[in-house]
Amino acid sequence: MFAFLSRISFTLLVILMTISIYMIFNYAPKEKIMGDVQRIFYFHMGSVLVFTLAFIANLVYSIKFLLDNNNEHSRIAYINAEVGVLFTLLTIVTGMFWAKPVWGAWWTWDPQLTTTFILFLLYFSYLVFHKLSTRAGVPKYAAVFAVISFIDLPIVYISVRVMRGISPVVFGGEGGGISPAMMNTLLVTLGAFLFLYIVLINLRSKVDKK
Amino acid sequence: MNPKAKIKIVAVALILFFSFLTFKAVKSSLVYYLTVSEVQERESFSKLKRLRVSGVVERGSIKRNEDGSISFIIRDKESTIYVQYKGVIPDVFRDEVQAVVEGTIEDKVFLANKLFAKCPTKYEDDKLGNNRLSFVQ
Repeated sequence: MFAFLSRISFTLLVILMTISIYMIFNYAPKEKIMGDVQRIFYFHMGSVLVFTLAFIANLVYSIKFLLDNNNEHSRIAYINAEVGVLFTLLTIVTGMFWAKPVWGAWWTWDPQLTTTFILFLLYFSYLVFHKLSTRAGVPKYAAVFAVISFIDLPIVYISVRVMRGISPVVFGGEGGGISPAMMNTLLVTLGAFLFLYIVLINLRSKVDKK
Repeated sequence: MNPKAKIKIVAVALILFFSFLTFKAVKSSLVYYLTVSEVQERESFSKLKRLRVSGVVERGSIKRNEDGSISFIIRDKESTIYVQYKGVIPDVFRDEVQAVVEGTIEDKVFLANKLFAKCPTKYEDDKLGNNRLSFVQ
């Protein structure tokens, strides 16, 4: 059953990612003010989706581990954090490529950028700390650290809305929004990244079991 | 030292480090920029005090000077500031765009050495252009 699901998610990933890349470069309209560079937006949002899912899964499995002391839960929490850290880094890098031409700088200490950078540092430290504490025989310390680290994730989302910054509030803000063709492209891309997340977690899980 | 004690020390060090980082981040980016009127309301600023101010670029105010610098006016609902800037100009910098400038104030003139343009929050189709990437055509 599980093997079938992972095979199906791999097939869906290949199909959706192909359509998504085609749509990003051929179907999605060129943005009026920012031009072609705005196409990074789709990959940027896809990476945001993956790290959000991964860190939520990390929180859920860390709490499960704290409750039942099952090492398998600790392991799943760890691999989710690994995928999450990779995609936080990808979010930051794609954001920088976008910011350089549009804002005029690779980086600035805006609230959302600062909190995202802290998110990266927190979970990167968690990866190291998880290995250390497991080796020392106290893996629950890492699980507690994971639960505390999660506090930063909602802050990343809220910061741009309640504090003054340079990151745009495109969704749910005043005067924001994207055109219908852009929305279609975004939805397909998010679908592709959802399956990318599932496939990566499955593959990473197999590496451990060898 | 036993491994458990070592882990405790690492845990405490990590928590202290992140508390410090969060404190610094909140302190410095809680007010990422001032508005134009907030700057004008205050009587005076030290010439050494670095500020970050954001406002809308006044239509038709962007002027290119001979030495390669540019000057323009940013405004909000109540006041305006005259800005001088020399450096790289962002692609989307133009009239009526929200800009963020970093620098100092001297004799009512804002001397900026950093200029950011806030990107639009509404992404619109370029009706004139083709949907394809420009270099694909």
